[in-house]
Amino acid sequence: MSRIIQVSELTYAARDRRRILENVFLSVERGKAVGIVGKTGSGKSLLVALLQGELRPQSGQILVNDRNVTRLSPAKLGQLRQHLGVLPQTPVWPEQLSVAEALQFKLSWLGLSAKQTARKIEETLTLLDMASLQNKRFPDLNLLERKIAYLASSLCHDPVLLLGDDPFSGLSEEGETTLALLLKKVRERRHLTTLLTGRRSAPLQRLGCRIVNLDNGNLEETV
Amino acid sequence: MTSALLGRLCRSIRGVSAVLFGVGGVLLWLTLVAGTLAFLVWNEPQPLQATRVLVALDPQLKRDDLDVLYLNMREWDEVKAVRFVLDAGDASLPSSVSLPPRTPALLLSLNPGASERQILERVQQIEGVRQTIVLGRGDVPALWVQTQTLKPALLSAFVVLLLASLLALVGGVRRLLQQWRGELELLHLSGVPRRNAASAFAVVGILVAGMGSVLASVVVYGFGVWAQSRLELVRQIFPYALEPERMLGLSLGTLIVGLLVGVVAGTWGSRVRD
Repeated sequence: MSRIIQVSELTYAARDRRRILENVFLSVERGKAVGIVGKTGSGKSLLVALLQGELRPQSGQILVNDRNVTRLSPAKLGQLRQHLGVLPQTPVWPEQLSVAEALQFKLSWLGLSAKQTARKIEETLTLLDMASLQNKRFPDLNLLERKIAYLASSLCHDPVLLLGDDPFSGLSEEGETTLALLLKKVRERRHLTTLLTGRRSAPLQRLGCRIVNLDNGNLEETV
Repeated sequence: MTSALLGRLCRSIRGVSAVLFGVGGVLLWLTLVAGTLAFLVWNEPQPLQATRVLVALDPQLKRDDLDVLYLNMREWDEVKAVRFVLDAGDASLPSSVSLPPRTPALLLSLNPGASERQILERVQQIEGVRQTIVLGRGDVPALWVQTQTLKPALLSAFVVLLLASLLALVGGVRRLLQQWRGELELLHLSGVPRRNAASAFAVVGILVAGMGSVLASVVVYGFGVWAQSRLELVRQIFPYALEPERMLGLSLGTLIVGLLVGVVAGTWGSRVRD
């Protein structure tokens, strides 16, 4: 089975030269789910940012969908991101548009026709059982609904890889379970490769992730 | 896509962004009007210093006699220029001055320092002179002093207002960008550079500035038309407003300057990092 993420010898140091990630190796096969668990400040968000090409490491190689993101130009990086779905830890919520309008806004910018856009919006909203929320604006949604709406936005363009930076943060246990089950459903229906981070392993295990611990800048598989 | 976003952006202008755009538009309007008026005030003091004397003549005078009078007066040392006033509604005469119909008249512009009294005595001795009217006496020096301070004041106002309008428009674009940061973040995460969408925000700044400059341009041209009427004070302070070509040029200049301000404000305000 081919790998969609292949990280090798990755090292990233902060400005004060403190190494946050050191000689990290990670591989994720297509269609699989990986959960990276670590304490606050362990470098989980950093790893997700590096996978997206938001930051560049001091050394090492990061292959995502067969592209070395450490060497891509901004334009090529943009092209790569069009195949990724990203759930940020603290997303900036769209305020001007309803959920459906936000999806339409995004898909139109990605160059989809009106017909394709309408179809993808319908598919996504149906998949996430959120048709009733489509006309609501983000400020009118509760935190769980906002996270699901953001998930819809991350999925509507059919990404090959879903990256999530602690998507469960701030949710109640019930909210975590709901989101985890939705993510599991998405994985199963779309065979979507998923890499999520979190402070606790429970919600990640619930959606069937292979758990990897991030501690002292190193990744360690949990058996 | 930018045009579709533009419509949404315009509809989302409210609150602080609406105030900033409104203030920016009005300030730009004032900037352009002040700048234009600075180009319309007198540049040279001579024309205002010259007192003019209108000499109304007997309608029975023959054409040859009028020509002789004209040529004769042109040679007087106190006289700078002479011209025929053929129409009672001559635009260069104050609206308060009226001549009986078909009354020929000569308009004498005196050299600075020429004695009005001597000229009047000399003119009134000529046969065929019915009436003499002194124009612009007394208030001319005061007007000149006013226009001398008016021009730098207008130019100063232009600079200050220009900066203020630029800052207000930049603030409006930044605020709008702030309102839409969530949507831009969605695009960024999907690989669409923020700056692609940001171009629509720049267009909003240009549109607001464009509206301000179109209004200013219309006002400038309208002022030129209005100045053609017989408002002596306006004509004495802003004499160039009587030149249609100049007014048209200034109107277009106003439009161009306003749009340039919009482009600068829009580009500056919509700068984003990807």
